[in-house]
Amino acid sequence: MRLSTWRRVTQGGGVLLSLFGATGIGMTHILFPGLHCYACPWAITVCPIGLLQNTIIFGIFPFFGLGAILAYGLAAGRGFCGWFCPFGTINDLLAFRKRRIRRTASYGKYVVLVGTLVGAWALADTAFCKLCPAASLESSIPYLFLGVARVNRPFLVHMATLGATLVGMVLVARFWCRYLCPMGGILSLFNRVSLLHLRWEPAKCTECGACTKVCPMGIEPHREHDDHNCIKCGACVDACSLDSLTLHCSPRRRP
Amino acid sequence: MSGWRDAAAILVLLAIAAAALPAAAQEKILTFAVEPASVEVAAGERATVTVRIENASVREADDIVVTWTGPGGFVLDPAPQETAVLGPFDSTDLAVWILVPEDAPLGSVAGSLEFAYTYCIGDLCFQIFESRDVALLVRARAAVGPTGTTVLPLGQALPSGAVSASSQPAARAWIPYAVAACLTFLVLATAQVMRSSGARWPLYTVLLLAAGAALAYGVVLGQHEQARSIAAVLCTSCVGIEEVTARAPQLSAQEIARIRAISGPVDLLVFRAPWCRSCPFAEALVEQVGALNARVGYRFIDVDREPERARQYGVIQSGRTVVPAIVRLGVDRVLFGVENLESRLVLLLEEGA
Repeated sequence: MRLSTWRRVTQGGGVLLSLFGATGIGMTHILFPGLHCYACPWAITVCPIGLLQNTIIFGIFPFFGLGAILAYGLAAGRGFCGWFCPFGTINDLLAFRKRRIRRTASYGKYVVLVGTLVGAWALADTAFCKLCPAASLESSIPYLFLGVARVNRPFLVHMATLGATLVGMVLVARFWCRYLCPMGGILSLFNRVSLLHLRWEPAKCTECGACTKVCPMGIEPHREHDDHNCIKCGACVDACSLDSLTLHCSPRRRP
Repeated sequence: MSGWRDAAAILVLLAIAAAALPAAAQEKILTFAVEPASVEVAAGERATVTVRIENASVREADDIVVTWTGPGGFVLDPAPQETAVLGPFDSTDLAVWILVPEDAPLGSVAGSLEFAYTYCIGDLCFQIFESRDVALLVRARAAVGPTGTTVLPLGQALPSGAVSASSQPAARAWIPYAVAACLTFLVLATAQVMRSSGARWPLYTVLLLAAGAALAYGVVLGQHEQARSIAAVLCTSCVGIEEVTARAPQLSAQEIARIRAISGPVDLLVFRAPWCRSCPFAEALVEQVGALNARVGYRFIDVDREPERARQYGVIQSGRTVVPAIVRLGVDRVLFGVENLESRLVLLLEEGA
């Protein structure tokens, strides 16, 4: 079976987990391995970015939060972006224009990450949450229908960031994941050590460019398979007719 | 002759049966549970107890009335709602407010809630009386101003209740940072040592151990509970549902007049969380309303400490507790957030007037 089929299944699982609160089981202690707003009425998991901001505001060293993020990173790195994150899935559904990535701009996600954490400390407020397009989609809009939110300035700011991100996604595949996502920024730090990884066998590669053409992140998978922009989605593996690129979930071989 | 005797015997049996039936039928069909059985309350304030009334029978109970018996000055204010009908196997929760007089003696005061209700079997109706003891522990009124008027400073630490497991002596506060520094050093040192050899598994192992240690230490500090409680309570100004409101409430002259005109007793519950930055505004507003009209009673409820109450009054929306929220007892509508709260609150107070 093609990897893309499996990926639809796990992405469906991610959406299911993000909405599992509809069963009424309430909030759990689990951190979500992606970007999913904990304020979403149906969330049962804690948003890592929201939690980190809160711990900074309260002046607590986030052992639990960082430990969980570290564990996720070691397991799959940015694999969660490609295989699980519901906001990544929305990016995926709108990934029509697979243009080459702008390398410098792709460091924007680290700027957003540092800005989020410094902003929480400087403003003593969860400033990122008020701009986060995932919160716009998963919290602002549902709460408007639940009668908790009203159309006011913060709501319109949320709609503006969501609208801009959606336009960006349509114009550039995985726009949010490439350039802005702070959670992707954290997970990308583990891309070189994670169990889930791409393997490239140069002997089988003819540099045909088939993988580059299909990559939603706009990188050259056969040259940059451990890059911080690789989400390990496996589109290149499906595209490679020579089996030069393969996806593994195992300890890495000596390079 | 024998006909007369038979008729007399039947009449006597009927009379015995008629006398026995009420005795047999006059059983208690309702159970009353008072929660909590003892309440700590300041002089001049109201103690709140919840009475759970359950009908364990197939009959209908009517006209359930609650009254208070106790030392002088203590009254039920506002008078509890009379429950007109409680159907078979039905149950209800009744909030009862006991107003403690300003000059009440401090210390333990014993009283009791008296319940009366009727039920009927055919044309035969019975009135049943029951009583439950309630102990009040009367404290002196706090000398400082009410909590709602103190505006919390920005970024203030979680109060001890929210992070009870992680509360630790101040002298030990450096330990978490030392542990964090050690873990970071260990990871960086391993990475440096492994760089030349090219083998990745030692670094991976150290990272994995660090993740496990951080998770375990976080759980020991109670950070997992803290993470859950941060995520389970939605503070409307935290995720951008509305602006943070940290100003004094501003009631217009017209609104003040409307509040003063409210004649019926009104009871408000204000649900708050310690870290919610708009909650002090909601509390201050309700206090102001209470000062303007003595018939408006109120109580502040910390959703961290009393999640059950939040659930009971519909402040929990699909598993998420929303703060600040104001509930008027007897009205099935919750005011969430603080936007235009002055005008929304006045409308809620006037409802049904």
